Amino acid sequence: MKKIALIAVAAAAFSANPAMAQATGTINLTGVVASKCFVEGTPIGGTHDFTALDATNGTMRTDLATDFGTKNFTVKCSSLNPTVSVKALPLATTATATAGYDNSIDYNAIVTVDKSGGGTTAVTDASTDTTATTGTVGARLANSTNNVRVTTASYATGSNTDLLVAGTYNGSIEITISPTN
Amino acid sequence: MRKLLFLAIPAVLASPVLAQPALAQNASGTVSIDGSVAGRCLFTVPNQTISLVELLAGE
Repeated sequence: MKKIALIAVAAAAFSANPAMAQATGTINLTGVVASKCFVEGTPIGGTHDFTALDATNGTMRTDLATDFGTKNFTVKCSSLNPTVSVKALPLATTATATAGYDNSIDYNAIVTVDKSGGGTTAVTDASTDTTATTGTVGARLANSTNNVRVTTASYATGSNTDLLVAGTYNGSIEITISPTN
Repeated sequence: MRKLLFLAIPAVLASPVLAQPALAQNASGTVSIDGSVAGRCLFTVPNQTISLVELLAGE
């Protein structure tokens, strides 16, 4: 009986060794980045004043695209394939125009964006309609300065012999770059 | 019962079902283009020669 008791005591002492137990666990770290596009530096905007739109003979000047030049902007996006939307509104005045005259100049607005990894994507909108043109970059937007450029082309009146009526002409180019979720 | 109702209201408000989804942030802007045409008139043929032939009266 005493022998059994000794064995029992020894077994209990062996199994109750607290130094052998381990406490383990994991702390998980999580976070999010929202899909967004934002302008860095100069905001998308500004005004380009052509001053006189008419040539010496009273028709539209033919150098308006060169006069407008290129407007550079820097946009950063966190999403994979951003969307570019462009709407050009014609240069127009409120004065009425009859046969042989015009009170509006149409043109194309072109937004060219640089792609990450190289290459560019251009989205062109004509001012002749009221619908914006939308396209996707086709890649991530390049993480670089002046990665969005705005140019214009194909300025025209109804007929190239039309005389422009006197007045102040206003137009605009609306640009939106959105993250694609 | 009323106490339970009061406890339930904040829980419903905090529910993700009712949470407002965040709107995507866009980069947008407008480039304005202006110009003008002054009122004016011009001769499309700036000069012309008119020959009067013999100016001396035959007296």
